[in-house]
Amino acid sequence: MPQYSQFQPKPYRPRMSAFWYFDRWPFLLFVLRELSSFFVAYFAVLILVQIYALSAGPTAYAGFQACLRNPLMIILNAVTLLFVLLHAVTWFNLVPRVMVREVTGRQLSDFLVASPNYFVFIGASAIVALFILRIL
Amino acid sequence: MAVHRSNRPLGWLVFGTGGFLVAFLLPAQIFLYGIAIPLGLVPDPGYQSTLDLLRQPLTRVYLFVVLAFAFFHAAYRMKDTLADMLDMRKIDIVLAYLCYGGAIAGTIAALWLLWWVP
Repeated sequence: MPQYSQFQPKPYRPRMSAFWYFDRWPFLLFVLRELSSFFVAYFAVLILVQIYALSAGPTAYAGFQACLRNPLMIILNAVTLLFVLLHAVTWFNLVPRVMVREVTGRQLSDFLVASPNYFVFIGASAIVALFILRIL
Repeated sequence: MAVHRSNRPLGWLVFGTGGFLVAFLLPAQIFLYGIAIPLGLVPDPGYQSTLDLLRQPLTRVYLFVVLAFAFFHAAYRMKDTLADMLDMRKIDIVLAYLCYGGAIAGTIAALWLLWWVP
């Protein structure tokens, strides 16, 4: 049996830093976008708590609202809004990536293809807001 | 011969639907309930009025759909984020059980709470 021990190639083992996402701005943006999921989950749980407080009665709901007036909660919710907006913007801007967008032989710009999303977003937000503020 | 089929598209279908609902509907809710009403930027509709809104069947269906898809959307992304950021790709089946278990628990909680609204 021949022995091939002298020139054994070393196996290639790439090592990646645990903080790879600080290397480049697009990596960081990607990770921030992915982190938005934690804030989505947090706010969904907060809505559950709100439904529970509303069902439990006026005193429980007043306590819930007092908790939301805590400056730390307002900061947390503002950060949540920023992360969810980052998710929304990156989501809307995906449309030009996944859609055929040739009209009359010309390629439409990314901005033009993504823009209907923003109009729908404004319309949907307005309808939700009118319901929440009890105008509708 | 068995053909290997990935279960990824099923997760992605729910993730994608959730992504749409979250992107279009959640920011208004976060801004109003989380920032504008607590800060007094807009008039608070008050307890009775908000409860009346919650009592409507349409509101409950809306909340259930948004919450259920939001939970599964978040679970899909949280699983991959934890696997990538904390270098836990090797145990991603454990992460999947944790994240999707949480999503199932959240969905059941939403169904339960919305069913028992007085």
